[in-house]
Amino acid sequence: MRPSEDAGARETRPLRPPSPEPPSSRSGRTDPPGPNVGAPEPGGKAAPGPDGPPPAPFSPKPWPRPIWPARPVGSGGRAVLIHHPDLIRYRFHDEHPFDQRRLLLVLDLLEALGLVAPEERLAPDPSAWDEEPLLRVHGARYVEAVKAAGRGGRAGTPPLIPGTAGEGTEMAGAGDAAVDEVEAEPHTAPAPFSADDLLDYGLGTEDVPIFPGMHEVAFLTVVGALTGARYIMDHPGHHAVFLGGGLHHAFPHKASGFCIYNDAAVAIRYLLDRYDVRVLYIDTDAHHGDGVQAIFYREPRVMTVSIHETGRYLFPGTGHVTERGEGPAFGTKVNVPLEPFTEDDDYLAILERVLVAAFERFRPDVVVSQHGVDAHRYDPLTHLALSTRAYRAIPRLIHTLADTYAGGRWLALGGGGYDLFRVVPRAWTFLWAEAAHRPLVDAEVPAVFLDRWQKKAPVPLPRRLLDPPFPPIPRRKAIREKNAVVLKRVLEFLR
Amino acid sequence: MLVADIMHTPVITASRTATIREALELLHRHRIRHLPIVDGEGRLFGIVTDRDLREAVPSRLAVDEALLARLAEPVETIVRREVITTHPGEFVEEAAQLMRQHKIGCLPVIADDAIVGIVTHSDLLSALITLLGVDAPSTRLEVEVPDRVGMIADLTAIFKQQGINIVSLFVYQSPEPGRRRAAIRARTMDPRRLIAAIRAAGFVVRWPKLPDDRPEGGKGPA
Ligand SMILES: [Zn+2]
Ligand SMILES: [Zn+2]
Repeated sequence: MRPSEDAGARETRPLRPPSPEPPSSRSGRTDPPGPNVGAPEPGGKAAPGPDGPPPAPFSPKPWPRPIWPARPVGSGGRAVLIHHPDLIRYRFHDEHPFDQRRLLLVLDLLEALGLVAPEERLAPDPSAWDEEPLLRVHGARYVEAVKAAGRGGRAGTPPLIPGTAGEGTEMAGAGDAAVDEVEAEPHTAPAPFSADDLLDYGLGTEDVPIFPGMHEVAFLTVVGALTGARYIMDHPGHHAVFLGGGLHHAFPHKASGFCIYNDAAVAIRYLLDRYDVRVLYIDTDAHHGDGVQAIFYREPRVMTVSIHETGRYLFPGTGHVTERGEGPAFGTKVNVPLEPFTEDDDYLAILERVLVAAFERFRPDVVVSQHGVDAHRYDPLTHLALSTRAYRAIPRLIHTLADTYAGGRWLALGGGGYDLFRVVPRAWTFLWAEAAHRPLVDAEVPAVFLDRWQKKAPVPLPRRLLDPPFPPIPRRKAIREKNAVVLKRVLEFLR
Repeated sequence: MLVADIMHTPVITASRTATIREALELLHRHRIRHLPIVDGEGRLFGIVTDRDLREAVPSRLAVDEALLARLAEPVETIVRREVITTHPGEFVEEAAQLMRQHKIGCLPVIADDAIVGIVTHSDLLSALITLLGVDAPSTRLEVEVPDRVGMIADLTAIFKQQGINIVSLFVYQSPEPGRRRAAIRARTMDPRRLIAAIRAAGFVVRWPKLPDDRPEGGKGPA
């Protein structure tokens, strides 16, 4: 495979190749803005120290609807929140744990807290991107299979969150005409893909059921991540947050673990092809970031660091410390499998030691992080038992390191998170607040949010962003000892 | 899993008329530790190991006449004639037992009097990883079942009915008498309904736990 000539032909000047200079001298790049964004930042402002001057006081602004202008207005903000209203169509059926309508809750909480300025909003435009970056990661035949499945799959099912159907759940464009006829014939796909063919691509399984328009919304997700990748390269020192992305389990020829296209890998591949940078990928989802690791297993320009619940029982089963990359990339793949019930304190202490060592060792140009929030104690699928205190600390740590070592080029993606009402909105609020340089210590969950969502939630909603202390879990000593063995090994590898 | 599935092939061998020097060079070039020696018809004659060769040719500071003469001797002067061998159709666990009992590091694989492969410690370790390891994204469940006819069939029928593929399954002794444990890797990220169905059928799921089993009783969204 060759780097994409077409993508390279876009206007932005490529970065210089990685250099061994210390991080302090690497931050002040003044690359011109790309074609897809607003005016450049006023001169000189792009070269702050690790975190620049203190951010100007932020005055909350009303949240306009529709909320996402195609371009940021000006560039006063030092971070963008990338979102598109159609992303909520990424959902499978009522019983399925993955449902991007959780993004509605996140946006609602951010709005209620007045945390996003209009100029910080950026909408991805799928018509501005061809499929080439997607095809650099996924097989053409697989992409055809996803398209075919989405044209012939089951019609939509009733909404999980009442009142959110209506204007956004049926797909526009492809699939519209097919909906009626497929009602009668639920599981079939048009030739040349039989249902068995699709199963071989991981499509139509329990984890990745088929739904109308699945290609379109999965591609929109990829475009969101690409938009973020381009934004951070066009705006040195600025950050991009795309909560719709981070679908880290997808493989080049197979859907897996609720993921269709691996938007994180496509964005990283695009960064390699177009800018020839060294990318540090950090994955704090409770599950091992297996798809991203596999895709770059022999690529020395990408270091992946995945910290996750051990795969002894948990999906996907990989992510052992001995998975370290292959050939020229040996040593650039880092895995930190932790015991169930590790909890905040040990998790954060281990993460910090590993990340500092990884940044020191690898000296990335760009940081792409995956912020799955399914390691929370309330999450129904996992057992690490974190609280939102960890989800306040993780972005803080990554932000500081990205600003210090990588000139602030930081793209933060979403990921897993299956307690839609209690965990995802609060955890990702902390993430955005951090990236936007308005870090929150804690806040009350505004009444307007509670009024809107409590009646739809099956459980009482928390009243504050920060969880109160949870009762301690027994067996702490044994858990700590096992994690210490893992940490020691990982740090030895990173020396 | 059979020896044929894990053995190395083709095998690097030396003729019994080869010199010690040639044998040493073969070990070095191919980075191997065991060298089967064959006769004119390709039948196994014996085996030499890197240790045998090192002992036969003690390292010295200077290259002298005696050393050169030793290196030129035929390898059959130091070969071990009694060799424990295996067959391609033998089970891997039997081959492992043989290697452990005889404290040896390799087994030549013999079929129709000819050497067709070789099995070493590292081949056995690879086999262990293949048997127990993870080669497809999956969740592991550990289920305790009564040690009776048809229990595994009943258990796996639940996976079929739930539409979830099993990627590996092994059954082993439980510390509790009259019971067995099944370790199953299932191709799903969300095993909750599967676990509920297994429990409803009367089996004990030792792990994973459902959210309701946890200390704080945290419930999911749906
Ligand atoms: Zn910053
Ligand atoms: Zn996850």
